[in-house]
Amino acid sequence: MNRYLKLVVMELHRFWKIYAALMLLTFLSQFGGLFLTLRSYLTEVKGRMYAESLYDYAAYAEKHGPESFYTMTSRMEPWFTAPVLLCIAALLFYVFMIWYRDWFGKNPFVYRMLMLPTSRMNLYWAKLTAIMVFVLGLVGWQLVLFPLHMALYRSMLPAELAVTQSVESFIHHHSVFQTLIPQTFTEFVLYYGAGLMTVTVLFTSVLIERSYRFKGIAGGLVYAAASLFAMLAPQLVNDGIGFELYPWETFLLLVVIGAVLLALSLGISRYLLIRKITV
Amino acid sequence: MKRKRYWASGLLAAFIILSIGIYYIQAASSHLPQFRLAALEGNEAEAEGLVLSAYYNHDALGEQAEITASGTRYESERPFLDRVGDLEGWMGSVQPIGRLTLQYPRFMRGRAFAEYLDDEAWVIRAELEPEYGVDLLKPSYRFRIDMLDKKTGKSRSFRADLPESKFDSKSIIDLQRFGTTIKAAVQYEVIGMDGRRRESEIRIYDIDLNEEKITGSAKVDFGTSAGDGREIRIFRVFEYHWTKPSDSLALEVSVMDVSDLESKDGTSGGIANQNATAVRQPVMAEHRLVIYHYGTGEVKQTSLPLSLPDASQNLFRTGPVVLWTRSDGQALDLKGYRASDAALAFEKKLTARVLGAESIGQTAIGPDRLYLALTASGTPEVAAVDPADGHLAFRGAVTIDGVDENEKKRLLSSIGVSSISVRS
Amino acid sequence: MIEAVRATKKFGRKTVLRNLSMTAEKGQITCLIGINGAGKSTLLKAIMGLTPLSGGQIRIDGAPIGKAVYEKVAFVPDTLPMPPSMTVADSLQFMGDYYSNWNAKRASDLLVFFRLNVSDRISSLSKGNAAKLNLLHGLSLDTDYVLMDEPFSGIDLFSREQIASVFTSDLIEGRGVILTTHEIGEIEHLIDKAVLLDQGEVRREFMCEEMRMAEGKSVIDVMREVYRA
Repeated sequence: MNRYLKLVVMELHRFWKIYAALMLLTFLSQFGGLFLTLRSYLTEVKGRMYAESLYDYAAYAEKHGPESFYTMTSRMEPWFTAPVLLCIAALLFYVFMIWYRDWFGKNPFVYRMLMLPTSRMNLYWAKLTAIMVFVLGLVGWQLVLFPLHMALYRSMLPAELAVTQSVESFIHHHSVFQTLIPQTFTEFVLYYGAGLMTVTVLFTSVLIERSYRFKGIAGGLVYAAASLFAMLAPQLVNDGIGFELYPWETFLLLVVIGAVLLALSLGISRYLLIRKITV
Repeated sequence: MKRKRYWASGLLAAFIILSIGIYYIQAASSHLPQFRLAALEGNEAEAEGLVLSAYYNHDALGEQAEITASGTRYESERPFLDRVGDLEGWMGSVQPIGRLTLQYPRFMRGRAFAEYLDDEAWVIRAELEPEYGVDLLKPSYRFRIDMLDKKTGKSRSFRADLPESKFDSKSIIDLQRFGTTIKAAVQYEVIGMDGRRRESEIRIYDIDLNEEKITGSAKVDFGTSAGDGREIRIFRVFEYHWTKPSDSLALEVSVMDVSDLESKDGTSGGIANQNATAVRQPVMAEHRLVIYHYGTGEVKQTSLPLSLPDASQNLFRTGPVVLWTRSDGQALDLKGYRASDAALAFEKKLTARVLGAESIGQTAIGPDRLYLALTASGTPEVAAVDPADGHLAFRGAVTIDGVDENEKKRLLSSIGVSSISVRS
Repeated sequence: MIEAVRATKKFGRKTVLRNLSMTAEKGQITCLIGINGAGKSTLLKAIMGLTPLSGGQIRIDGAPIGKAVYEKVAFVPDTLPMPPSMTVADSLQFMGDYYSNWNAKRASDLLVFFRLNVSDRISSLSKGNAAKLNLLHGLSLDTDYVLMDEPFSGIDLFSREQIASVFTSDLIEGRGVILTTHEIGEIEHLIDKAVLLDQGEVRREFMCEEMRMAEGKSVIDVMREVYRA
């Protein structure tokens, strides 16, 4: 357990600079972009008020309506959601690089990692834990940023032009955030559990490639594709052969398939790491 | 390892747990206001099963809600497993199908969109299946009948070939059983390239359950047909319990005048045509209620008022009564016809004022009530009318408890009811 | 004793180790000699479990290789396997964190002996210094065996002499050492046993002292016989 934790801390530390940069970028793009958008909106409002002889903000709101936080963020797109998508892409890339970086360069760290007097699965668990921590950390970061953004919105807009929205309501109605931060904690566990399963499938693909090289590239791709097919199977059953599954049946089937894929990926990875991996 | 790294990692882990944990705890503990439907007039029991599909617009984003006598259920507050397991809700508002799916999930699997009969002994499903031969554009059709014996739980299926016809559009609009004979009402139409209905007819087929084939057929003759400049539109009159047995079929027949619809470029008007310079809508020339009796083959009919441009019109059936309604938002005209002989049983006018409201909105039919959505002083209300005589049986209003008057007013003005339905 | 029993390794169609059997005793310095591609590095990696064998077995003190091998055998690969951003000090800390048999005192003594600067980054080390640090990592573990893959390859003369002097010190005493090289000349006087490999097979395996006494031949003489035949 101790060695596993040390490896987790090491994996977290190795990526911290890029991670911090992603968090900073998200903050700057969202907060900074919101600030600029609010400022430009106020200029626009003042211009219209002058042109239409509206004597105060209340009169303006009466005629043109207030502007909610939601619509304000829509105005500033893609600067609100683009950093989130960039973070997702970066982490997805790192799912592969967290392994491959150990092999690259003139000092392949993988030798040392594989020679540590600890179960090789601890290397696997540490990398898996690190990825999940990175993902959840960004989710938490976004949850901290939302109230900050809303506070900026409330502080810059006159009360007559602002609409009170809760963070929850905003997330629930936003096409991207409603998926990343689902409605209930049950769904959160299910979605990120599925994410964890996906990472284990991708890790297995990497290990297949690292164990068998050229044949391994094909093997890794086949494994990933087969896993995807397995997860899509319930839907294909519905659409293809017309045997309609009821929603709860589809859900149950997906949970079972997901659990099987997780166990299979872990089992195959363990076998490869201990018996087949080659440097 | 440097202590600093351990601390930083621990901090990150704590941050994750706190940020996500606090968010979900806070989300679970905050609740949207609980509106409910309270009785103003009539029997409180009338509100049972009534569901107002509404929109709570409190923050420019809005929430979908369902308001009943016992409270409000918001879509965004529903637990996940509740949503996944809601088979009835998944079937949408096709009420009897939802109920049947809950009761007989195996039988109902995968074949929801068909015509059903749910009587005391059987659940019977009928569909028209195409059979493709040499000419893929002209398949031949047959009935596919599935039957579930409610007592034994066993099901059986068979197919019965439909005779060839010139009609390119066919659909089953009603299904009844009399002893060992199934009667299937099939609507045929010839629809032209321009969307015009060139011909329409209703044919009743007798399907023998023992012989598993069609043993007879009869056309429903209501004494009028399509022709030059005339289009016939036929609809089965909607009823809540459309799967329950009945000894008659109620049809709404409209004869439309489609002459002089050609616009300057020679194509038919009536459908959205970018090149058309003047698109004339078809005009209703005749409007009838036609009752076909399955037992005798008799057809009874009566004229219905023609539709008006600024009023919404509906025709409903609740067992022995067919109700015609027309509303312009301020008054509802009501005519009740007997399903046995299509004779007018009563006529009534309900004004918004009489109903204590500012406006009359949507109408909906329940098992034995006509429902009206009303608005009074910005508050959504519901009225339930007895279809037998047009009398007001119940009036209810959306309310909220535990808040002061100003807050109540503010909250109620944020609610908009989009439809009324009944969950029996 | 480290034993390879009919060890076979194939990479695709290429057979790198061909039914190779050899032993290396504790307390002896065994040298694997062969040209590039003879299978030397592959055999060392196989012993360390870094490459799975296609056939045959490796045994360490009678037991097949497993997790425990890393407490018994230290491996010094041909390149320093540490992240480039780490400092020398970080790398020592890393070793100490994960290996319970890490000898910190010996490590700091070797730091002084090799004249390495603790604050230097791995990426900035010269080839010679990297090789010395690599050796430091391996030797500072209290293991029964030490494997070294081309410890002298591409190193400057002074560094080579420093590394060679390690072999005669008490740092090696009592341990079993297997090293690979294709530059036998410099270390012939240090090794106890020579194993000559060619195309994945053992051509000759002999104790150097005995060969000199019995046949009057040096290791290079035997090499000429074997490789020119």
